[in-house]
Amino acid sequence: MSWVSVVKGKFLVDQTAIRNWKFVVFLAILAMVSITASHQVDRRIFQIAELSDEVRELKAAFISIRADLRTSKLEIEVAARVKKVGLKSPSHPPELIYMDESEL
Amino acid sequence: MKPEKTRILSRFYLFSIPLLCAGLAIWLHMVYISVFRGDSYRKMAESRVIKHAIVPANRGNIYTEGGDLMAVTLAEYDIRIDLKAVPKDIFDRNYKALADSLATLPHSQPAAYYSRLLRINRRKGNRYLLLKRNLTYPDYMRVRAFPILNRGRFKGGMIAVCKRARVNPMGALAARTIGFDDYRGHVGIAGAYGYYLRGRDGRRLEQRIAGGRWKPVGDADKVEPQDGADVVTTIDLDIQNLAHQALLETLQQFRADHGCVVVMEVKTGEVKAIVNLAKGADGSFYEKRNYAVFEASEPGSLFKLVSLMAALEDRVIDTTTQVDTQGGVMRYYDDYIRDTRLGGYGVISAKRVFEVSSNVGMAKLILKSYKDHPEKFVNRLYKWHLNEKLHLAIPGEGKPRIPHPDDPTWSGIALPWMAYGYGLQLTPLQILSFYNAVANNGEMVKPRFVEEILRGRKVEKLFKPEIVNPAICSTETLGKVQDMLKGVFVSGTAKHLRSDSFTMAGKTGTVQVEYWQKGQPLQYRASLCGYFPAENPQYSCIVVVHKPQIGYYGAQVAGPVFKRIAHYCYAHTPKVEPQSHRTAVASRRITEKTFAHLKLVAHLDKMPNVLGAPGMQVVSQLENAGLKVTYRGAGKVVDQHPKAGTPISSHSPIRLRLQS
Repeated sequence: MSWVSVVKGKFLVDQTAIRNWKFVVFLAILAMVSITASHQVDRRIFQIAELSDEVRELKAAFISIRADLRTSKLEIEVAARVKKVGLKSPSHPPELIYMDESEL
Repeated sequence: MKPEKTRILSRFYLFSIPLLCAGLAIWLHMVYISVFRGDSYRKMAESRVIKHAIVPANRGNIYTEGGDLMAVTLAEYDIRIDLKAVPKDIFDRNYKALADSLATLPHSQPAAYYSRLLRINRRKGNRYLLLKRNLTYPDYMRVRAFPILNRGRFKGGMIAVCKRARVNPMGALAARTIGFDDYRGHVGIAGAYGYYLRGRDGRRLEQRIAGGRWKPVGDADKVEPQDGADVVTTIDLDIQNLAHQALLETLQQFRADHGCVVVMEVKTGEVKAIVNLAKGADGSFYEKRNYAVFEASEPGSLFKLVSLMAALEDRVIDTTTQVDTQGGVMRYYDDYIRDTRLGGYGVISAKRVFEVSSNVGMAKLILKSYKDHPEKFVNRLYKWHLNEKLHLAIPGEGKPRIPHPDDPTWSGIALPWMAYGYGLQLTPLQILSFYNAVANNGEMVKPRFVEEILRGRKVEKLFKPEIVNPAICSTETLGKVQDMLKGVFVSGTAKHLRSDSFTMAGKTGTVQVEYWQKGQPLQYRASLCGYFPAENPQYSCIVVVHKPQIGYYGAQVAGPVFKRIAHYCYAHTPKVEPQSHRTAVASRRITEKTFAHLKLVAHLDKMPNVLGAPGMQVVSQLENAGLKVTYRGAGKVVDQHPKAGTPISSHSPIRLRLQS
């Protein structure tokens, strides 16, 4: 088959045309699958970008809340807050008491 | 016919040949472009849709010993506004409210500034006006709710640019020691351990897709990014915060220029707290430079420990050696050596010289022992490596300077001067590590800032205590100097800092600084270096306050900071009985202390005197005895009804008034 006959589209109309048509349809489906896949990849990338922005925001929120929490847990901060109810930082260390199980 | 055909043909050639030539020229040029200049054009075309992207590695975090974040990479936001996007009526109605809101953000200008800024730029038609830089996430969330901006990108013109920034969540705490590692340089722990923290950036090919996004293509030329490791420091956040507050209050109270505090664990050399504060241009204090690490200066009286230890170790004096302090003034060559107390201390022992910190006494003791062989004294100091850096992990350590008799600058006055800490230079950390060695029974350990390096949860590198010198002196000398350091807090310069519940040992220092500058009032550096508890030391600590304007004595200025930290560490270390006593002592304590009063109270028939007793304890005891108690306030009992000794029964009401 010369290239002229290909250009003229003879393979679509001659006796073996049915077989060729099947192949053409197969190629078309393949092309569509490929296009869809590539679009889906693009969509996934948008999703990833959105999610990583969200992660970044959530991480920032988490860190600043955690820092606030840690600051308010600092003994000096706690002492300042509970001063109203008459609590103070201990001036003597806690004593560890060990007991035998038999004593309990 | 023939001439007709020739005429047509010639016309045909007339048109077709130039056309053909033009076509050929175009074609040749195409070949030329694609062959000779094609590479650069092809690259240009490709770069619009394909790029070699750097995939940045996540930088590691810096933690405290307790797992609190000290440095982390976070999102920060720049807020801009497109003023052309805002409709006129909305702008006119709301721009003042927006200015008011902006002024409430941290580090903001007054509202009037913003309202002017908005008005002017509205007139100019600015479509990218910067409102605020480097906002944290919570502030960014607030900004999104501000008037005008809450209408979003298209109606409110809000543009938020998100970027990554290194943040210290605990703010100023140990900021200079945590440091940074960027275009400004390598500072502190972040700078020293940058290699671990940085990680390695990855690379990949990316193709442009719609919306200005890029998608990765191909696996061939791909390098995965390797995230940085986390650094766990030795900092204890509670001690750090306490030391920070204590130093800050002292600097403000005494109107000092700058100061530093370091708290170190005696056995391991782990730095539990390191504070460096200096006065800024606006009068507030901030972590400006790492004075504890870099500032080599004259140690003054703090050095008397070293001089005396050298003499004791060389057995040229003893703690009982008597010395005449000569009325507090001594002339040596052309110089006067003076004591703080006018009139001196009379004839006193070497131990007493140390406790009261007599300059004359110290100078005489050292002169007596080393006058003819000053190199013997200096060599002893060199043997202790006091003339060398500690080689700390943190960059920028100051170089100590201890003159040698062979130096051309050595003079007759150099030796007595050295005896009480002038004419030589040491950094606060170098002094502290020497004192720490005394506390650690002679074993000198290197100060350490980092405990371990973590990759995920796996320990990549563990740092162990580094012993610089296993024994700096004999046990005998050690016992003597430990005793003297204790004496300073019992009957010496720091005796007013003494506490009944816990012990401290150390030495005060009051150094004249810039005494060579004429025409300004004398300036001082107040310091205190020591350890606690005096027996079985747990932490060593140095406090240095530079140029206080009110008061200047070491014990008076630096002392309270030292004591506060010592008290904190005492009150927060649980008391544990020795292993062998545990059971016996514990059971005794439980029967005698815990249950005794309950039994007593169970048989109450007269109202006991509870004045001054802790309210909560009294209330629970009386209630345990079946009495009905009402009380007001909190704290200690200041008034009771019925009075002590009144007979009571189980249904007599008891009223207590507590302190507040």
